[in-house]
Amino acid sequence: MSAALAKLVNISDVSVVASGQGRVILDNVSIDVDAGEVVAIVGESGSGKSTLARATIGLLPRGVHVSAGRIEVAGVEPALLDERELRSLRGRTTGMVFQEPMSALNPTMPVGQQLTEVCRTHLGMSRGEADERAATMLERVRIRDPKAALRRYPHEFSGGMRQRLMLAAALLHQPKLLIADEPTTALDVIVQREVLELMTELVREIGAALMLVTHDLAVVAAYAQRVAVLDAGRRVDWGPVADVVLNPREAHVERLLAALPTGRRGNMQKTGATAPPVLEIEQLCVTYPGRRKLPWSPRVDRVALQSVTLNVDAGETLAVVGESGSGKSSLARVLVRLLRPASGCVKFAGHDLAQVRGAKLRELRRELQIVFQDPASALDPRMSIFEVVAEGLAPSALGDRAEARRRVAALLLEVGLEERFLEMLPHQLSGGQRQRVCIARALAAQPRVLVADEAVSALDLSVQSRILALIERLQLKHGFACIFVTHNLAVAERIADRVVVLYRGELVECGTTAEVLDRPSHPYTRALLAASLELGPIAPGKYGLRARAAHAATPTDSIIS
Amino acid sequence: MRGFKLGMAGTGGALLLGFMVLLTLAGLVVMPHDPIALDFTQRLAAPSAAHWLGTDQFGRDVLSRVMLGGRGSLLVASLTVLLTVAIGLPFGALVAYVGGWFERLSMTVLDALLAFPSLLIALGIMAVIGPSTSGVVMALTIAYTPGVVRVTRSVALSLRETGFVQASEVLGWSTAHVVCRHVIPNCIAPIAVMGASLFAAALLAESALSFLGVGLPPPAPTWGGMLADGRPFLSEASWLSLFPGLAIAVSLLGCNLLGDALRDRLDPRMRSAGGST
Amino acid sequence: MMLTFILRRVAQGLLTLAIAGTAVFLLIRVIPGDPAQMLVGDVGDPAMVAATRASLGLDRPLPEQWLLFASDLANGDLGTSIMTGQQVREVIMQAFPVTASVVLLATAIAALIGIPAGMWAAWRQGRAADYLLVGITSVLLSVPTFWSGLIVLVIFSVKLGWLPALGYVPLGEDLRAGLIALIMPVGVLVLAELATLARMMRSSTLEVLRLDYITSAQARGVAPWAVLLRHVFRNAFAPTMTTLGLMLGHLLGGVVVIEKIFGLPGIGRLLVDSIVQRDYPIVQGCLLFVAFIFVIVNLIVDLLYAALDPRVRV
Repeated sequence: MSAALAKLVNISDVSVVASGQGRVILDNVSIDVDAGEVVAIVGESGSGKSTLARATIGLLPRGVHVSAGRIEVAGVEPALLDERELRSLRGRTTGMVFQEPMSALNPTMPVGQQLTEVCRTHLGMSRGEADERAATMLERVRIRDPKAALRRYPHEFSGGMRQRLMLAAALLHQPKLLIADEPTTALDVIVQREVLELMTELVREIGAALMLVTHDLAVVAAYAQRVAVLDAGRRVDWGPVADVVLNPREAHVERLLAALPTGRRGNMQKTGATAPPVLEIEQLCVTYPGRRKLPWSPRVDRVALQSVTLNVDAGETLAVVGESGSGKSSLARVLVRLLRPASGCVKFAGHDLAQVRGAKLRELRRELQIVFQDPASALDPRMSIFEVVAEGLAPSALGDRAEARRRVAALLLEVGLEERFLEMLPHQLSGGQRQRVCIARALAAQPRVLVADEAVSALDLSVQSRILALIERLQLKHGFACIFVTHNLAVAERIADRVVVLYRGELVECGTTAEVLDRPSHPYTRALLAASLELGPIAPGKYGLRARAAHAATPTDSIIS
Repeated sequence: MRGFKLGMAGTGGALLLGFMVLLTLAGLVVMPHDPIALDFTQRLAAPSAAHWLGTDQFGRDVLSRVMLGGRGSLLVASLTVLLTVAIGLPFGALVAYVGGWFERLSMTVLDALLAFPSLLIALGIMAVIGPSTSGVVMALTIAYTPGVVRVTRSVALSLRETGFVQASEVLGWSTAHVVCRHVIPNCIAPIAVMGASLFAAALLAESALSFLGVGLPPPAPTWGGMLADGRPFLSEASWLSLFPGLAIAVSLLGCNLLGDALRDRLDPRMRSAGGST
Repeated sequence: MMLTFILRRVAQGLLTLAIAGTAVFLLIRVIPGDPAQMLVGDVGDPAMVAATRASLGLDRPLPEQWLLFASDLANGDLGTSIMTGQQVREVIMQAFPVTASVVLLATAIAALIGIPAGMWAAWRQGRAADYLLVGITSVLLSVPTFWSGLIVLVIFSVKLGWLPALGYVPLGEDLRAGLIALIMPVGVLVLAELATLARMMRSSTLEVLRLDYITSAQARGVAPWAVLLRHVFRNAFAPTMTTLGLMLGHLLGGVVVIEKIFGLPGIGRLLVDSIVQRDYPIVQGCLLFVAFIFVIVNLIVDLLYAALDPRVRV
């Protein structure tokens, strides 16, 4: 496009501050968006990427304001508009999609009313016209029986469906610009891909531009034409995706790319087929008690895991992959006996875990440790880091405080934290440091099995890669088996010797990483592989999207429904 | 305790409540006049230099009686809060932890008890056991404990699902250790907030009971009782009703402001909401 | 769906009532203290106490007493007053309309003022209007009704002579005089309830305003009044309504002091007078009746909640 044409969005030298603390959220950032273009804004948490997107339509939270620079959307400056004109800009020219489909729709209003609100307010449509248009749009985003769907409430739809509803709501008035703030982060891999495809397709169809806020460089590489990389409020790089991401020129971008989980772990040497497995899982079923509709009606239990049989070898890393609701977290919890199986058993060191009690159980439990997804809630906010980690030591080791301190300090050092952290409280630590503390606490018990339940999912990419490396290093040194529960195939490939795929509570695939990822046998695994977007090095200093196994099938409605 | 900032309203509340407590405590050492000595020459005297807050129908000094009355009122409220928390907190944690039919039964019974206005439960109990200080404390404790159990249970249930409690379980610590080390300490903050409003409620309820003549037994004045005694003289000696009521209102205001400040301080959502990317 | 929901709530309500009834039954019989002794007085001779006990039916074994109590209750028989020999049910039915008119009127007025005020304060969080509301409600919440009642009485009937100090006129008899008699008690109650409701509405509105769908509505260019009315109100009102229901249920029996001060012959005063006169059947009846009202009000609130929020209709 020629520079003479007016840009759709022009953001020049914009700074945003939080007035209360005087904190600078954005520092002198400039980007622009042409009509019909897809521009990505990428960065880690705290980089200010969402703030930039919101500032574009003057939707900053209270107490946060633009302190310098100019923002122009479709030839007008939102900052100079009065309330009414600003609303009209939002209702005619722009549309926005949010991260959490669960909370972005009003639960007490039928979907139809929320969709048509814009058209009726800003385009002056009658109820009938607006309904007609909404139904057409719902059909377009592939919602079954659109007329009936309009009368239903948000909670009657799944997460992926709700994100499509949001998409329909944001595009119904045919805006010139769609702003999508991490629109697929909360969704499962397959649904994620579908929503992204649908979104870009629709945007192209109505000729709108897309401002896509994301932390995922693979998404950027697959869908964006230009990209702005933000780091701590500053624009680190800006330009065509090929120049910024695929052939990185900035050190920060290179660091981000280097942190991408890539590569495959070399299969560890089997210590001989005679070594008995450390964990034997037999015909394991887990159910959650359902609610009775009436006191006398039968209880309908929800099945989370259905007859899963699996062995875990000593010292190996087993990745458990699945979407939300696949039962992978239930499996993690049963293994450390936070949940009891409905039937079947978990055998550890010759005991059926469900049958052991008392002192023997407490002794066994120490050898089965878990690290959770959210390190913030995994640390008692009232306890110092020393007390937290000391809890992992055997009760007998706590008598001698000086000795306990020495051991805790040694454990912290092993996870990469210096002695000065001993007296700190959890809220003084960053997310990555907290997760290290959790690992140290688990390590203190000298476990034979460590279960990591989405242990790196909540962390930024750069932190994630360091934690993965830490777990690998510790495993090598201490020789525990690691069960790594994740939704991320690349992470699984990077860390696991073997991969297990769970789908709706059933184990559908189990084998070495190569077997499962290169020669998947179950249609779900194939769909998962086909849907996942991965970016990796293709030559020194060059990155590209990686194509998964060629024979992997495309996602089909038959298994996704 | 980490540095605790209560803000302006909270500090004001602490000062108001502190003032009333100090006034009452000062009464233990010195009082301007004998609060129970009758002096018929001074019947219903308006506030003056000799009697700052005036005198009642028996010529007793109102200020001294307000100071004395605070003892009963504040003592009953404090004891009620202490007892309610001492019973409700462990019981709530127990209910959450034991679960099963015990939990269902306990909660059904407690919910049914919550179907009575607390003042009515107290009234009902007072009707059977007759006016006495321990009776009021017992009645109010029975009336408020179900609420504390409810709150503790829900806090404990959500704590059970947190990573640090589960990590402790996985590390092989006994349930008793987990409850004492993690669950109860982390219940204290929300219960402290509740404690402030309980104190206010207990003070109010005790005053209401005394006002109705079924609270603390007669010889000792209480703020509520003084209000009731002053009622027949409303038209000629309004100070008899004004000052004891003011004492109650100031204490309640202090308590409410303090409670609000504590809640704002402890509610994680109230903490720096900024910082979204 | 909706039918099972209603059935379940009704069943829960009946269960609550059964337990509450048993609690009242036990209150009179198990708590230390002897009603018969209290009734006769400190100096009564043992034979008289025993006779009184027998007349109250307190000498029979506990399970038998309970069965009798439960079957009477199921027939709607609350017994007869010791003092007057009247049917307790009739006494209560005479007193209830008085209490109901005061409480319903006060709650309606308080809701009409308090709920918009709370929403407005939340919308203007951190600004003058908000501070003003929080300040005023803090003071209102700290003023006991038995004190504000006395003050109002001094000002408007003693000093100014505008309103009658005592005396209740049924609304059905003389609407104008009836309403005038209600001005002070209702006014005092409104002040107290208003503060609670405005506070509750403010905090639940603040919760809702934080949610994505509000930002989403703003991003769609929906006007502030429409955001407040269409998106915020329904979601913020539902939890406030639960408070409103609890408050209403409690007040229907808890306006004791107001009735006492303003001389209204309602349930609360009936209860206090009966306690003073040791008229146990009436005390028991009043407590049961209050629990009954509470359960009914909560049932209605639950059903309204389901109407407001489609997620709970399960």
